[in-house]
Formats: sequence, C-alpha cells, structure tokens
Amino acid sequence: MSSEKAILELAEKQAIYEMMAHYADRIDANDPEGAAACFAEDGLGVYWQDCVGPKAIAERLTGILDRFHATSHHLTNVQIRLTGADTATAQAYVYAFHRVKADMSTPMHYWGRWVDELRKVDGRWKFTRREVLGIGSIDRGGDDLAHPGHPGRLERDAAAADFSVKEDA
Amino acid sequence: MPDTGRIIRELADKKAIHELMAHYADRIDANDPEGAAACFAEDGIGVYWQDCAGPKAIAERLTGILAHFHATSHHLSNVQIRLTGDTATAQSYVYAFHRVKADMERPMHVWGRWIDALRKVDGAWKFARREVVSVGSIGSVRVPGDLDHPGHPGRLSR
Repeated sequence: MSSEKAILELAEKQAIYEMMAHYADRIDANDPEGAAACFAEDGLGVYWQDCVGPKAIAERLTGILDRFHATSHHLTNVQIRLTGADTATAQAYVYAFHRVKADMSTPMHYWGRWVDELRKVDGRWKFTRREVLGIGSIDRGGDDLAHPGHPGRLERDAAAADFSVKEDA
Repeated sequence: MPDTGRIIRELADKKAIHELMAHYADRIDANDPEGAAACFAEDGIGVYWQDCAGPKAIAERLTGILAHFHATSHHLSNVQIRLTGDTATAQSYVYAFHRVKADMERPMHVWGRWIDALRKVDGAWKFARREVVSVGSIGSVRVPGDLDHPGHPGRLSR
C-alpha cells in the first residue's frame, strides 16, 4: 500500500470514529435531531423497530430519550472496514448509564453493540444503517436476559465449556 | 490532490492528545497526583468542583481527592478533539470505578466528561484547562451535586 493510501485510510477511519462519538454526544445532550442528522437521507435506524430517514429516527429517539434524566453512552472497541471509496461497515461496543426519571435512585445499565453501514455524502460520513443490539442490561436493579446478543454469537454444547485440565488427548 | 502532509500531522496531533489523556488517567490511577498535574501547562487551570491554578495547586487538590480511595480505574472513551494549530479543545467521556477506603464493600461509580483546552508547549501537548463534569454517580460516596449533576455539556431540555 502506498503511504498516501495508508494516510487517507487512517483519516477516513478517524472521521468515522469522530462521527460515532458525535452521535453519542448528541444522544447524551438529549438532542434526537442532532443524532438523527448523523444518518443519510435514506438511512435506516433500527431501534428495536425500523425507522427510515432522519425525521422518523428523531421521533423514535425522542420517545426513548424522554424516559431519562441523563444518559452516558461510552463508545469502545471500534472496528471499521472501508469497503469502497465512499462506503464502510463498522461495529462498535457501547456501555450506557441511564438515570431513569421514574426512579432516580436506581440507574439502568446497558451493554450492547452498534452495527453500522456508512456512506460518504458530500464529503461527510453518514450512517446508511445503524442497528442497536443489546447484550445485557440491568434495569431497576433486575436483569433483563432477553437480549439478542453479540452479532454472530456462536452456540456450543455445554460440554464444550470445560475448564478442567486434561492429561492428554 | 489531498494534502497528506497536513492530514498526517493532524492525525499525529490527535494521537498525541489522546495519549496525554490516557497518561493522565494512568497517573491518577497510579495514585500519583504530581504525575497527573504535570499534564497541565504551568498556568493551567484544573476545575475539580473548584478552580486550581498551576500544577502545584492541582496536585494538592488531587491528593485530597485520591486519599479517599483504595483503588481507582478511570476509563477514557469518546475522545473528540478539535485542532486549532498549536491549541486544541477536546471532550472525552470517563467512567470511573472507585474502591472507597471508608467502605471497601461498596465501590463508587462515576460517569462524566472531561472538557479540555490544550496547548502545545515545547512540542508537547498540555492541558491549559481541564474541567471534570459529572453526569451521574452511584455508591457509598456521592459526587458533589449527584442527581443534579450539571450533566452532559449543553444538554437540552425538552
């Protein structure tokens, strides 16, 4: 790879990372329109139901954010694959603290994934698809065990989960 | 033709600032207030629920805070940096685990923001101003303000 190509790819990945951080910033600023503006005009936001376009996404986010006094969405494990001159896919981890209006003394904790498809529109990266996948949550002190889980999570028989030390095979 | 020289210099500056932020967290969690305070410029302001000017005053304030804790772990994420030549502004997220000496069974958890102004001094980035803003906390010790934390910078009311 030429060094120019390497530099430009680093710059694209940095721009996508900054857009993801900006999205979290807008969510935590209680700004659903600002978060929805991170989507392309035909972008699809999957928040446990499909929302097409920034307007529908902002409405959905407004309904969700209204439950909370404060939120804090911590972005990590950012993996980006540049798939073309102006397209990319990505997966990132999120842990989110939620101060719940209905019970200010018991925060909700949420662990999940953001699974994204992106496109560069007029020089700026936008989500063409963003899906929120839950791994687990603790809500009002209880566990919610019904999340879909990590993308592509493998199933194995319980017998395979064996930590005992074997002499020899 | 993209200016790759400018692009790589900006990426390098952002990386250096990110590493300064990580080094600061490392020094806090190493119970090294002087090391953390050395991340500030000589006239730097640290805002830890009160203003502290200069590394010496900052180290004293951090010493008082860190004395409460048996162990801490400050997890840096969501690093957003805006470069303006040899100065920069930044916002980053922090989640911090605190093992509290007075109650070893019940850790304190804090979620917050670091709001920074930075300046390059002799080729090294330093904090010209760093403010800790809390978004929430739980545990046996509460962060000042707690439920009425100032909250996320610029948080909107609807």
